[in-house]
Formats: sequence, C-alpha cells, structure tokens
Amino acid sequence: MGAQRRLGLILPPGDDPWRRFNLEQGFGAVAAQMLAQGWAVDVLAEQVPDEPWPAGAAFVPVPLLPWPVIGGPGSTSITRSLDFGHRLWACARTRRYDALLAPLAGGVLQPCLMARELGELDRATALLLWGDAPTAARLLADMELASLGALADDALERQCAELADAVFAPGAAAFAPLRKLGVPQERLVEARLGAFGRWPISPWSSGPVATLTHMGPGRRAWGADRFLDEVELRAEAGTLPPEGIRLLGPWRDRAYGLSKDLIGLRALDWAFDFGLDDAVEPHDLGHRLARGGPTTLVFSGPTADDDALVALAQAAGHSVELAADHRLANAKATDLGSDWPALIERVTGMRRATLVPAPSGNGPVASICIVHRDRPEAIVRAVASVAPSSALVREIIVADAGSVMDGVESALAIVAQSGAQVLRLPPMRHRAACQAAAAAARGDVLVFLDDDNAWRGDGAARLIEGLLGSEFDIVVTNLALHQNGTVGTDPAGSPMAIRAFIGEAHAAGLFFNCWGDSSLAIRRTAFDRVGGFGTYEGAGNDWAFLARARAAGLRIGVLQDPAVDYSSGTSSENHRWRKRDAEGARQEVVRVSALTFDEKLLALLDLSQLCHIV
Amino acid sequence: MGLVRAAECFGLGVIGLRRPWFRPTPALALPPRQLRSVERIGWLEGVHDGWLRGWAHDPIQPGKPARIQISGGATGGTITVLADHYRADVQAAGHGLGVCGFAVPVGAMVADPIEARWADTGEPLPGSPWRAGAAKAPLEGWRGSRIAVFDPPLPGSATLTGFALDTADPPARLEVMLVAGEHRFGPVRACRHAALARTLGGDGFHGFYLPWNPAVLAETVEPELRDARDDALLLKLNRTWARSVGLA
Repeated sequence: MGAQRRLGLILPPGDDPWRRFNLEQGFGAVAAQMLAQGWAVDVLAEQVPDEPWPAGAAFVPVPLLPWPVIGGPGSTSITRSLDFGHRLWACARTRRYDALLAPLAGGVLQPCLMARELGELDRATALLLWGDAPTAARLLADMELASLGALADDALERQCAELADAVFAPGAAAFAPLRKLGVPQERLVEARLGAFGRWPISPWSSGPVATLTHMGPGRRAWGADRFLDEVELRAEAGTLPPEGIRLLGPWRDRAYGLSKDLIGLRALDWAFDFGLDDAVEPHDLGHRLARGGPTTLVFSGPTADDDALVALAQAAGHSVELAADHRLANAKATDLGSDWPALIERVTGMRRATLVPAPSGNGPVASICIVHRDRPEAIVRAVASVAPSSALVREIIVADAGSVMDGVESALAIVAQSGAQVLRLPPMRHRAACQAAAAAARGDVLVFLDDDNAWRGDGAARLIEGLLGSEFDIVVTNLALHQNGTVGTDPAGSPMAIRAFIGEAHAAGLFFNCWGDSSLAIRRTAFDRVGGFGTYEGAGNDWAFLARARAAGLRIGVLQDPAVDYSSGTSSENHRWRKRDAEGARQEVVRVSALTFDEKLLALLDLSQLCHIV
Repeated sequence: MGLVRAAECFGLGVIGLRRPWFRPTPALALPPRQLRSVERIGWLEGVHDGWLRGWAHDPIQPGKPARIQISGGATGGTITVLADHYRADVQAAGHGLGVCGFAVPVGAMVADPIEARWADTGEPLPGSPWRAGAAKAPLEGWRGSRIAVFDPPLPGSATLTGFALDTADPPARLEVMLVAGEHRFGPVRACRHAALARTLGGDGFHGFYLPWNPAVLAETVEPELRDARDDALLLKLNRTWARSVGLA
C-alpha cells in the first residue's frame, strides 16, 4: 500500500464575504469527497474558517514571515495576493503535496507556480486552479478599478493561467474569460464545486411562488442589473409573482450605476412590491429565505462566483432560475458537484507521467558581470560572494566605470588576483557599463550584479540553474533587503524585508517596476535577440529593459528564495521618486510595451485618484 | 498661460495662480445676467466627508458644463472646477440632464467660509458662502405611526424632497402629495432611497421627490403633505421652518 496522498486546499484572504462563502462551501465539498477516497486534506489559510468543515480536514496556518514582504517601490505597489502567495510558497515548500488547489482570482498561486518552474517547489506537485471569475472580468463588468493592486492581481492571474496544470470551471460560460486570460484550451477542465453545508429546508418551498429573489451583492458581476431588467419585463407581461421581488445582499448607497439610488429611481415606475435586505450575511441566507415565504431564486451572473450558492439553494429545495448565459446554465441539479477525486487523480497522474527531470551536471556556462564605480570595499565583497557558485561560473567580469576614489586600485587588484577580469572603462552610465561587460563575456548565460549587492549563499548558482532548468529566457530574483552599508554584515544574513517581484508584470508594469531588478540571469541568445540593454540611459534602466524584453516575447521567471542580498535604504524610499518613478523610465516603458497591455482595464483607472491608491 | 488654459480645458483646478493678463473678450463673453431670459441656477451644498459638493446649471447652455471658481480655506487659494458630474436628484428636479454637479476634495484645508462663483461672471452661486455649522435642519412630524420629513430644500428648486414611512408597516411604500389651497402636487410613490429613513425601520426606500412651485408659499394657506391613500395629513410646511431654510 502506497503512502497516503495529500491535497492542499488554499483559502486566500479576501474582503468579499460572499465570494469567500462560496469558496468555502465549494472547497468543503471537494474536501469531503477527497477524504472519503482516502486522501489527506490540508486547508491552507490565514485563519480557520467560520463555516462547518468536513471532519478530518487539517488546517495549516499560512504564517507571517520573520520579515515583511514588499512588492515594488513604495506603498502603492504591494498587493495582498502577492504577499499571501509568497507566504503560501514558504509554507508549502516545507510540506509534501501531491496537489494544491487554489482559486484563480488574485493569482495567489503564482509564487508556487514560479517556484515549481524554477525547482524551488517539488516538481511532482500538481498545481490546480479553480477558475472563479478573473479580476479583469469582474472589474470590467462593474466598470470599477479602485486600485493599482488589481492590475498586479491581473498580472499574477495571467501567469497562473499559463503555468497551472489544470483550470477547473463549470462549463462554456466560465471558459470564455479564462481563455481570454490565457488558459490553453487543453488545460480547461469542466467541473462544478457543489456545496458542503446544508441550509434548512424552507417550510414554504412546497407552496406557490410568491416572490422573485436576487441573492448576492448589487453588482453587475452578480447580474443585479439583468435581474432588474428581467423583473420589469415580467411585470409588463403580467408574469411577476404576486408579492413582487426581494433583494438579498449588500448594495451601495450611492455609486455610478447600480446603487440604492438607482433602485429608488426605477421603483417609481414599479406597481409591484419590493424589498431590500442589505444587512444579510451569506451564511444567514437559509434562514432569511425560510422566513420570507415561497420564492424563486434568480441567478443572473454571468461572472458571479455563486456556484455554491446555487447548489445550496437547490439542495434546500428552493426553486432556482438561471440566466441563459450563467456559468451553470447547462448544468442540471444532479450535475452540481463533480467527481473531484477522479478529476484530481487524473491530473496528478498526468503530471507525474509527463515530468521531465531537471537537467543536472551543468558545466561552467555563466559569465558573472559586475558593474562597479568607487565602492572598493563592496566590489571585493561582491566578487567573493560568487565563490559558492563557482562550479557554474566560467568567468567573472568587473566593469569599472571610471572610478576615481582612493583604494579602488588595490581593490581591483585583489579581485583580479582572485581570477576576475577587470575592464577599465571611462566614466559612463550604468547601462553602458553593463553592455560593455556583456560584450566581453563568453558564457552562454549572462548574469548581472551591482557592486553594492552580493550573492546570498549559492544564490548565483540557484539563479543559473533556475534559468537552465526552465523555459524562461530571463530569471530575476526576489531580493533580501538590507540597510545601506550592511550587506554581508548582518548577523545570520537576516534581511529587514523581502522585495517580491511579479516577473511578467503586464499592465501593472506601466506604473511601477514590479518586473524585477537588474540582478538577473539571461540566456546569451535572448540577450542578443532583444538587442542588449538598448539605448535608454536614465534611472530605472532595469525597469525599461525588462519591459522591452517582455514586449519582445521573452519570458521572465522570478526566483522566490532571494538570491541576492540587496543594499537598500528603505527609510528613504518614499523620497527616491526620481529613481523609482522617473518620468524618463516610465516614458520608455510605455513606449516599448504600448501594445501589450489590456487597454480596457487601463481605461477604468481614474488617474485623478492615483495619489490615493494603496 | 498655456498651462493654465490647458488645465482648465481638462477640468483641472488651478490652485492659487493669479492671471493678471486675463481679460474676457466682450464679444465672446456670455450674456450679462440682466439680458438673460432664463436664470442660471445652482447650489453650493457644503462639505461632507471631506468633499465640497454642489451643482450649477445653465439652461441656456445645458450641454456645456459650467466652470465654478471656489475660494476660501486657510490658504485663501482659488481653484476652478468643471461642473460635469451626473446628479440624479438635480435631473429629477427638472434641471436639464443633471450633468452639472461638482465635488472637490477639501480634506484638512477646509476653513470657513468657502465661496463658489460662476467663473465667467464672478456671480456667487446660491448657498455661497458656505460655513461649517450652518447646516439647515429638516422638518419632521409624526401622525400616529406615520412619520414624514422634509429635507432642507435648494432655494428656487422645483422639487421638495424627504421621506414618509409608516413605522407600523415598514415594507409598505406610501403615496404622498402636497396640497396648498387649490394646488395639488403629486401624488408620488415614496420609494426613493433615503438613508435617514433606515433608522426608523425598513429598508430605506421611503424617500420622495415632489414637484412643486415655491410661489405657493406666498399664499395664505400653509402647504400640507398628505397620504394620498386616505388623504390623512402627514406634515405641514410651516412658515417658520420655510424662513429658516431660505424658502420664504
């Protein structure tokens, strides 16, 4: 008898209790099925859910790390899903899972997917997605983009769509936005969530229907606008139930579009009764429905995450109507709740069968290029930090861009004695010095490092192996941040924070550099294909280079475990706008990547609100 | 100069910039107030939740959002805003398409008083200057379990707003009408959203927007709000309150 197989179900943090309720119900049903088939089930979450959960499921808290995770510069760029995703990876890599199943929205699985591609997570683990409505689809439905964080979530989701082994979704209506996100057709698997909990059977459910009820937030994503249209059509045709309509769920007081103001305005022409209960919590719905009299629940989606609500309503014996293009439109009541053990076993089996062992025994293929100017102590430390990775390093090239300080000569003599090749260049910009080092390099892999940073243990080797063992053209790394001047001196190498990057940042990359840092590894062929570091000379040239590389079709991976100890002055970062948000860099990024972002999503941004966005 | 003009074209405020070179060309200026056959109308509503709000409508040029100059605060700065936000209540009150609202974040800069003027003529917007603490009180009255409330109206507005609710039967929507001597306005269904009504039970959909003519106040009879279903008196629009809110 083999070892017990283990499934990790991921419940990400979220502000929307309705979506969370739906997910907990649905994943509860999955857990119940998997436990019955002999699987061990862990629920990875920040906190234990309130709802009942199948006996036997174990809760694994996703803890805070000893240091904060920050994404990109300043307070505008952190996203909750990136933070949670990074902590999730740190938690999941210490445990062995045959499969991890997470919802799509927010892209919380992206760090795990990246880590698996780069060998930082067991390559045999199947990483699966539940295809709830993508962030972009939800935002476009309600014409609302409140935060740049949503753009980062969109970028994370796109990578999840590309890298996951399978994306489960309930049929054609749900497939369309997922295909648009980039999920390959062959990885779309039809499946339904079902529901774990049971509502009390309504004593009214056997009587004639007296009302129509819309359940869920008053948003277009939940079909609230279409519900009101439908109600008015039925009223005109004389087919509305005698007691009118009920709205169960939160509605905004005032807003563009759907709001209580709009209901009141439209109600002026209604001859039927109506009522709104916007204080209702999703787990109270069963009781509210039982109190309200016989009703027909109308679900008009199509981008709503209400699959489990539908299943619950049906299980409780309520009359349910689905809009023609609802995500579950083709489902019959008996279809709700797929055979999840069979689905997951099939995908995990395929993952194992097609697993290609990571290449090993790479020779010295990489050229380490370190740009230096007037930091004699730092350059000695940076060169020395390559040593643990020397098996993969063909040469070290130090490009000195016109140093004038005392002590530089002796420092360069030391690094030359250690075997590094020193290029003595006239004063020049960082980009040009990198380019000169690359021109002198002979390795198949080019690896860049700034002189005030240092490799973290065998960080250079991990970066190079990540590149060689994956299909990425460029691999950047999350950074272990240290206060200026303390790289290499901190006790036990403990950083003050981890800076997490997204890699392929998509539209979020237009606003801040969440692509990666200039500490990166790139294949020589890819470097030549993209034309090297290009002509942009200003601050933020790593931002501009990575945006241009992505626009040219190069794929960018992110090493999750920081390979670099990075010298940073976080206390002054808010003031370093010229470096972080330099107009020149952003202008260049927009120029080179103008055709690669989602213009519909960007059109939602209220630029006048940007200064308030967190 | 180019920067200032460009910013204003996009509806952006230009704070604290003096423009001594600017002289409106008489031939291009809007008609002087005394030549207008239709008055411009608007209201500076005041500061709520850190936003200064109001609206401004020009019936002669209904498709052209007005530019409103706002001054005041501790810094004494001036900004110009474009009154182009949609306001369902203003539309319902009969002022064009309602695309004439404005909202300015004032944050910590707010200080008494705040003035709003039409940018082209310098004429003050009704309600200006606005002073904190000068909010006008609503008028409320009970009849048995039924309560009716008039909101402080906008001067010159052809709409009275408020809510009416039977607390013994919150889901019911009342039909209300305003009776002033020979004049009757309504009935209308009290089903608009009125957040204040929620504090008395129900779901808050008990608001009404009643079309009326303020000129009826000049008559001897005090207008009365009545329940159209049984003609029961709900609330009298008394003259004391009308004077306090600037109606009479």
